[in-house]
Amino acid sequence: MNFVKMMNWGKENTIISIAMFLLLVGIISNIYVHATKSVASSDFIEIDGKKLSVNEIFSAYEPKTIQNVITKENYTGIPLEDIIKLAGIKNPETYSYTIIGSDGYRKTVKWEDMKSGILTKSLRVVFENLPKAYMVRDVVKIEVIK
Amino acid sequence: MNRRELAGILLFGSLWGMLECILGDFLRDQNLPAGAIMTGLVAVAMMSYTRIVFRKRGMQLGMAMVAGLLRLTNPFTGCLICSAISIVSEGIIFEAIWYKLFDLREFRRPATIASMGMITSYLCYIGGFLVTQVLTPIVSSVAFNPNDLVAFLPQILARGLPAGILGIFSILAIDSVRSYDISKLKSRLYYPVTISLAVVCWILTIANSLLVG
Repeated sequence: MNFVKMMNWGKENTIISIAMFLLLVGIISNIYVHATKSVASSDFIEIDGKKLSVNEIFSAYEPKTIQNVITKENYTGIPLEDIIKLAGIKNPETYSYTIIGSDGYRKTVKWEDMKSGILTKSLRVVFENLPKAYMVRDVVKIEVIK
Repeated sequence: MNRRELAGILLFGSLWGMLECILGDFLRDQNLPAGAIMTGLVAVAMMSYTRIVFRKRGMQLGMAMVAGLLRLTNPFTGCLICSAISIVSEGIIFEAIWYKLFDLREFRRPATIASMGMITSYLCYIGGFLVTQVLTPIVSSVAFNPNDLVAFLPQILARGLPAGILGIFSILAIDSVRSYDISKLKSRLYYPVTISLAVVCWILTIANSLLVG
């Protein structure tokens, strides 16, 4: 009887220890995320090291409306193809692009997807054929993967 | 799996799916942490309640599949692959964590029950997030880039914290209402109630999609 009690006691302690460990992982991750969070300006987007003003982007090109084939919703914004060209990327079709949000969320896409993508006024990228997981919000940076 | 359990799967899966579609979308529109709230409060509560009252392994995965199906096949909001994958992943992770557990009364201390809520909710949330990030590109015919996931890993671990904390409250609440045992209803009442409530869930979800968009 005592042995069974001891076994249960040990099992309960193990469960509590695992929960404490996960709690600690969560707290440390939150501290790390807040400590390393970049104070990004919503006025600029960095593309391959070059800072482009959001106003410049939205005044240089005509917005386009696309429909995402998965959500069936319509979105309006500036084509990513135009933004990449504005940043002066030569031979854009030869690269992949990592789009990074202010919270660190990132997605890497090919040029074929970039051609069907837009940047909305709320700085969210939307693609015609890609699921919502690819709609990075509050974009601060686009890295060119060479 | 007997008919009673199948009806339970249909009811609780539909309820979960309806809440994901209506409450989840509402929370997202309000810029609230919808994923953490839905996992910590809804998913953990539904799965732990059914595990405790039906005491049947595999039922929670079945519920997750029904909820995922409702999310995926909802004809008026389009296919939401990421959410459906995440919901089914949560069901699989729950089954793994609770593989040998059928009753919270085997624990002597409330701290252990609360810890089970933390563990279940935290792992379901981050597991669902990770699986979604890996599988969504595959089912969408896009190349999966592991660097994207690795770079975002601290964020995923951090976002699991509110889900874990909500899971504590959720499981303590379920433990206190365990006496309301739907599985004990008489058959002549049980089947009409479960089937009709499940139908209502589907109708409400579709109606919400038509009205809200």
